[in-house]
Amino acid sequence: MKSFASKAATIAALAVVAFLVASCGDFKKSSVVNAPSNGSVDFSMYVSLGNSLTAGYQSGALFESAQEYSFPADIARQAGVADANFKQPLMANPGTGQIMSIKSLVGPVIGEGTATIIPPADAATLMRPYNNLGIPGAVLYDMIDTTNFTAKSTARANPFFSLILRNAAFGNSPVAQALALHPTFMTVWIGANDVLGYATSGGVVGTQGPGSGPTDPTIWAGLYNQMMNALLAGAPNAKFAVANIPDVTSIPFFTTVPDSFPNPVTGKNVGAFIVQRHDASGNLYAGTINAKTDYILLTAIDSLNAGVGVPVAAGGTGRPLPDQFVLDSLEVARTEAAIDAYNTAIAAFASAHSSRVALVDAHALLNDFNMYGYLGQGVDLTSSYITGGFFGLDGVHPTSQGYAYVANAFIKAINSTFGANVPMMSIASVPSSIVLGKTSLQKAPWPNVRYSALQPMLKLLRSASVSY
Amino acid sequence: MAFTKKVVALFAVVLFSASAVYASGYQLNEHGARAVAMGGAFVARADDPSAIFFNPAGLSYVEGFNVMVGGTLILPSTTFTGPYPNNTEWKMNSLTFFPPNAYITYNFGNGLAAGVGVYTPEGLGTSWPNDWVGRFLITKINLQSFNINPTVSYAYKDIVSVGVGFDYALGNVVLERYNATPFSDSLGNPITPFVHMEGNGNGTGFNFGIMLKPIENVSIGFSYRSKIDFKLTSATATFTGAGVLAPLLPGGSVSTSLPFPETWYAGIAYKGDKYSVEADYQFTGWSAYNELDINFATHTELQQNSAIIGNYKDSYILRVGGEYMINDVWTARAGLFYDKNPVPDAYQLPDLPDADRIGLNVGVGVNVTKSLSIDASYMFLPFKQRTVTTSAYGFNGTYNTTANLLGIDLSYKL
Repeated sequence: MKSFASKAATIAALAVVAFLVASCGDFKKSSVVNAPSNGSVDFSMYVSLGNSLTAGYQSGALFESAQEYSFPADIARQAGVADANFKQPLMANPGTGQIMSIKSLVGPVIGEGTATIIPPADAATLMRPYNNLGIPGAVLYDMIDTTNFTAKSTARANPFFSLILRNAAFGNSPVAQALALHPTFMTVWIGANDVLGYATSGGVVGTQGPGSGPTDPTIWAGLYNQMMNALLAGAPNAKFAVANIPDVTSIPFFTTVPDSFPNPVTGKNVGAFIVQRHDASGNLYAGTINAKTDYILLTAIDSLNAGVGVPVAAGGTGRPLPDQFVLDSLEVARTEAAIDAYNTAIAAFASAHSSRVALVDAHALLNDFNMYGYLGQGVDLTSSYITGGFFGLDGVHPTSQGYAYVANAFIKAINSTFGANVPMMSIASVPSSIVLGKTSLQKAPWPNVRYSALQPMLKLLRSASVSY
Repeated sequence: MAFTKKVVALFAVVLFSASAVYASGYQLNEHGARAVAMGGAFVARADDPSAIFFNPAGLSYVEGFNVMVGGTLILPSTTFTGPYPNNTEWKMNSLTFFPPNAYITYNFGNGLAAGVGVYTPEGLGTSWPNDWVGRFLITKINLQSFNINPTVSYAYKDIVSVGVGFDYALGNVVLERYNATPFSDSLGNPITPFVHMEGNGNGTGFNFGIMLKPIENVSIGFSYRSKIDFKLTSATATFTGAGVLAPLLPGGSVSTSLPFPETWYAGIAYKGDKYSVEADYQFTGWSAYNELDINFATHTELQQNSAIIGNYKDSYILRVGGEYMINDVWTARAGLFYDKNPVPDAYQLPDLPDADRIGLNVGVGVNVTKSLSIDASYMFLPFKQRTVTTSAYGFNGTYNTTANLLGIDLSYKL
């Protein structure tokens, strides 16, 4: 008995030791991910082409601390590109000025800063095009348009063409300037403004001016192929990542204002707003909003505060909210049809050139984000206006953290298409960037967004008036 | 116009939404250098004053009047690599801990013995750099607790003994972290209010043990410690760096509680002339930690109560160890254990990085005089590398931890 117990203890001890030895590798420190790698992508000359989303425009302005976190700057940083090799037209704060901020949490009141323009410090000394050729307000056609861009800036009251392209000797269009850099890698995210001008004006001002719609999908597809073919031919060894167009109706610009006025006592919605909307055959009439299908825009708040669109029973004037503040079901359908058609063209081009072109499905990305939000490292992002943290105060453009989320989608697509392992952005390491000027807080039916604060962005979006 | 009074909570940024205040395995099992040197496998022998912790039934076999005083120096080292799939390595600030233990026992000589112990059955501390990637989850946490454990035991004819004790736990908790907001000040500096929470707490429980010596040289032990609900009674939260949000973050009184889990130990030992060996199984009822509620006394749009999900699983530790008397003065000891961690991947957090681990232990005992002895132990505690890719807190990455533990106890016998 004595020897049995002794043996049993010895065997148990040996078994434990054997187990430990067997599992020893688990206790060693080892890398569980592959080392960072750029795969088949050469980032040595990275050029980004696009609009405000590429420029890093945020909360109604373009300024250095936002540009530092533009999604192309994020990608360049993550891919190990030195700052000196990825030049952005950095406009020292407050850049173009008029940065929207929360002036008071009572309401809360959203207003703009002072107008100013601080051109890039190296505008006159950098004797080559910028790597980031994102031009706020640009539509697809602007990428290949070779007409005088200084004149275009003036005509469209959009300073960015001349601020960013600067010198026609570098190239007479964004595409020409991009190719002049002999890019080894490019991101191209263009086309959102071909529908945004229309949508943010409540369907009143389209790409070809008042009364027009989103850019015609057939024309759009032709321009897109023309632009991409020029890029692929002009930079025969470069790799590309192209993004498609998000569903613009899911951004806070369209989703923040409720569809009816809440009773101040009960909190129940008592007065559905009265709006100008179109009937099935396209005729404008004044009537009750269709809560399921119509959107009231962020621009409507000044009018709503003045009682326009609010029923008399709810204390309003009973006058209808003008067409320009409402994207009704007919206009939503037109917007979405255009986006779908553009995205079909983008997908077709990408799949026809899949060895060189990675597709970033920004449409699916934003839809997923709207549904689930993002939680990472203690940072919680949703698509809610102000508190969501993803969209800036203009309700259209992401914050620095939102852009980092977008950059990660590009990086993911680059990694999977080109066998790379570019590290993702850590969103917790990106500064939050919605400017808060004041304290105190009061619950309100909607944030008090001054129309004037949205003007700088809207001016860009509605100035295209392109004629092909 | 009366447009300003409705109920859309535009600013409901819940500050504690993604944090755990207390993390995994905050239990400590190092309460006597002799036992620790044998991998903590001691429940079936428990024949020194630390029996009060390991198995109160053993107290009857500790003769005379004894005082035992000591502690364990804990030197942990942790890195976090991530956020997954990134390879950036973050190193935890280096910290040292010294949970002490003290026991007084007296044997009445008729099988009856009594004693009281003071030790730290639960405790943890983690500190990360203020600019680290997990600063919105945790920058510092510290749980210090003491149990005061009066105990009596009775032995019948060296065959069976039983012991029972009462547990009073008291302690202090500190938590610090930054909170993410979507906001920056007008100069573009992000507004990330820093919270410091601190409070004292207490709780009560009990323990009992049984020791059997059914046949010559063999002993069997069982020891049980009840769960203790450790309630914070005077906790306050203080926010700094909130900028213009400060009026919305008044801080103030906070109430919360966390469980010290139920634990039982069972073991079998064999004693030879000059040596003894033992194998133990320890069960820890970590499933008691489901959820932790942090409740503010004062609420604002920003300062809201929150519940933190723990979802821990019950876990176990397997221990083997023994000692060999080289001569009348020196005794050599060795042992090891395997400790299964209770934290599901989804709820693993940097508050207290946890993983399955092994303990490799050695130690010596020295009889300095007839009445004074010194026991010393060394433990190397490597954790399995743990990679989390399914974090419920969006905090994925790889944890690597090792710890070195040095224990010493002085025993004086009258």
